[in-house]
Amino acid sequence: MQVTTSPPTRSSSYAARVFPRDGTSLFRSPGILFVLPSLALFATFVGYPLFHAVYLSLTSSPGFGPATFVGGRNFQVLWGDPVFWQALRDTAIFTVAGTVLQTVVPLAVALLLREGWRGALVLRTIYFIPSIVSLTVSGLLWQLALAPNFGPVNQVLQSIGLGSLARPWLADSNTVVPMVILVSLWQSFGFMLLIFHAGLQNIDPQLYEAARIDGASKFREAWSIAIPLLRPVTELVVMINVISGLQIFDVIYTMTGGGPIHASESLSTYLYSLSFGNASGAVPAFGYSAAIGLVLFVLTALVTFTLYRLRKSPEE
Amino acid sequence: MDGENSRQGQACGGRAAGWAVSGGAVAGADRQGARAVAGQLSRRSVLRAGLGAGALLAGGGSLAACGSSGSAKGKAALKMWTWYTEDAKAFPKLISEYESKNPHVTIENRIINFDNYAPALESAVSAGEVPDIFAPGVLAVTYGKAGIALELKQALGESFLSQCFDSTNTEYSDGDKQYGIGWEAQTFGIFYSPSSFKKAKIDIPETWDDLIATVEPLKKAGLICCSFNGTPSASVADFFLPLITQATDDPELVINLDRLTGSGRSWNIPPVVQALEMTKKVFDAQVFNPGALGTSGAAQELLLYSGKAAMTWEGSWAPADFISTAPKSFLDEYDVFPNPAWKSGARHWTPNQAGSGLSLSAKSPYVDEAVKFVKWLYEPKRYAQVMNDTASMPATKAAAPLVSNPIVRKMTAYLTDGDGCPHILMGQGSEDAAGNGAEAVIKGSATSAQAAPQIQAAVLQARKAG
Repeated sequence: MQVTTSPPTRSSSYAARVFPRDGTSLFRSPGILFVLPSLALFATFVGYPLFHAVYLSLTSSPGFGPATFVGGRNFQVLWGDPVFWQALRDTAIFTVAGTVLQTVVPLAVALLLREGWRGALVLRTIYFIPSIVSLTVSGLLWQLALAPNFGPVNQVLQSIGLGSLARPWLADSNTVVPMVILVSLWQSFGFMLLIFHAGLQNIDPQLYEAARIDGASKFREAWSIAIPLLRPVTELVVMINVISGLQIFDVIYTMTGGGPIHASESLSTYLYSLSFGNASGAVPAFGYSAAIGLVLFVLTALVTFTLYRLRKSPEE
Repeated sequence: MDGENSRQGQACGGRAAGWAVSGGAVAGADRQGARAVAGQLSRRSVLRAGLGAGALLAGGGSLAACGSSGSAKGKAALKMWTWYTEDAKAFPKLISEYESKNPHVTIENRIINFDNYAPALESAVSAGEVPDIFAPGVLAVTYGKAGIALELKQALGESFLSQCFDSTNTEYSDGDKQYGIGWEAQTFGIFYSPSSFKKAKIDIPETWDDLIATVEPLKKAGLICCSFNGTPSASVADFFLPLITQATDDPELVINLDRLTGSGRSWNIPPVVQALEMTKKVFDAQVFNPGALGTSGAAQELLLYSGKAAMTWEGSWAPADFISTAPKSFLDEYDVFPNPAWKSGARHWTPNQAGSGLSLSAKSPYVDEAVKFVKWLYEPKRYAQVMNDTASMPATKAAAPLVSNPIVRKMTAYLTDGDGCPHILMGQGSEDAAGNGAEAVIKGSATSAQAAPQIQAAVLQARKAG
């Protein structure tokens, strides 16, 4: 008699591990007790809200009382909503421009400060100060600085004979997005600089010495040694910037509220405004907001996953 | 190269082996421990432990809920939530007086920053923890229809509510039901510096054209004509919406537009276009300060009392602001005149309604106590005193003649003269669409004729959202 056996599939081996026939199971493992608290917290504060948001996005709900199930109607409305597309476009601009600036500028400055100047420590400390100021306070400070009548930015421009450049920076649709990006850079610069600085400290100085013996210039040292070896750090910084760019809220909320005429609206500020602001008047649109939140979640997950795959692929 | 890697690999392997030995010892101990624990732990016992923990959490939640329900030693514990920072001193005094006269009642007063108020209230309502007395903002009718806010015609009585100005009652009404009561009324006007007028040799303007005519003489005198606050854009809507009433002499039209009913079924109608044209005309004539759309409320007032602008277009809350920020020389001389009229001899329609109000929770276990407290607050002498202490405009007719601040008294007269018109929009997307439409016209990105249908389209789009 011939007996043929097929190799176990992935799912069957997983099932065998979780529910083995010998009576031992995952639930019998003492490890489950250690995982349980964090699992419970995760399920309560991340899992449940996530699933509830998915449910909410399929309903019409003012945030109280029973929600009315409307299926995919909110997503259909979203498709035809010009403010949503404006917010999506702005979010993409904030993410791309923010990521490029918040990666390249701190990296360049970190490389310059690497040279061990006497004032490097002082400069690093000064650059880090904005990072310890809350985003809300930063937003308010810059709102004052960029105010059209008493703001120091316009006053400085006027005092140096460039008064024609003075403008209501945050009320002008053409300047509001660049201003928000600049403030975001100002805010995050010190932190990103610190990450790059820490990365540079981990590079073996002998590599630079060897390069110098071979006659490499400072630029060559940075280009051929520091930047390639900083790749894992750069990937981390890019990841942080992309995620924070997609979720940008605080700076916009405090500086512009998404205005003027939605010119600086991001997905996060738009969904907030639909739930708690004047975008929906006396009837908060929680279902519609949840639909936007879900789009943002999927977008963030996709981008993060793609970046993660890109990050891993060369090593694989 | 391979050989080097191999050597490194061996070195690492050696270290790894070392780890494996000690790791193996640990693993062995772990396995023994695991067997011991596994002997005591079955799936059922783990689940039982989980359920126990869940019950404990739920029990804790219930206990916390009991703690927050507010009945301490049989006392009625009322919660009052507002964003009324101007009452930060008055409310504690009033509460302490009420509590001393009513020892069975305690009142927890929370004044939440305006920016954080809506999220706080909406979260509390979602959680079923509605404050007993709260500032409803634009949500009074929505909450009333949902059975969250108490119907006040029954609770307080029609005669009690009739002491308030009609416009403040209308704001919180839906049909024959009312879910809020005005705490402060508001009107808008133009605050000015008489000395600046004297310097530029100009008189108080009656119409918008008269106001435009003051720009040049004031400019020659080195002054900005009038300051304006366009941040947030709701201020632009505040300016533009009364112009619809001015163009038609029909204060119902704005309410109809908000509800998209009757004469206001669509924003794409001639009065809206005319109002947008007037808005554009006033802004193009440089009546307002440069960068007006990006100017904050504080900067707007500063422009006036620092002597850079001769006037400012603002609401009746400004006198209270001036008292706390402006120099005495300004306080001694400044004055106010009514919102300019559409044409000579026409009415000076000015945006009004209640700037702030109070609603009561329909689900409160202490409804009777909340009603008693509110009635006590509105007793004419006491209420007038609070309004005077805070230089606020009263929402009741009885308190109007008792207003002590001369500027607030003048502005209250706009209301009693019947020149008030609506400007607070409740409909989904109305406020946002109207403000943005007017702003687009001011900036020249749309003509008035283009902006009116755009407002209508934006409102219809917003109302599709659930």
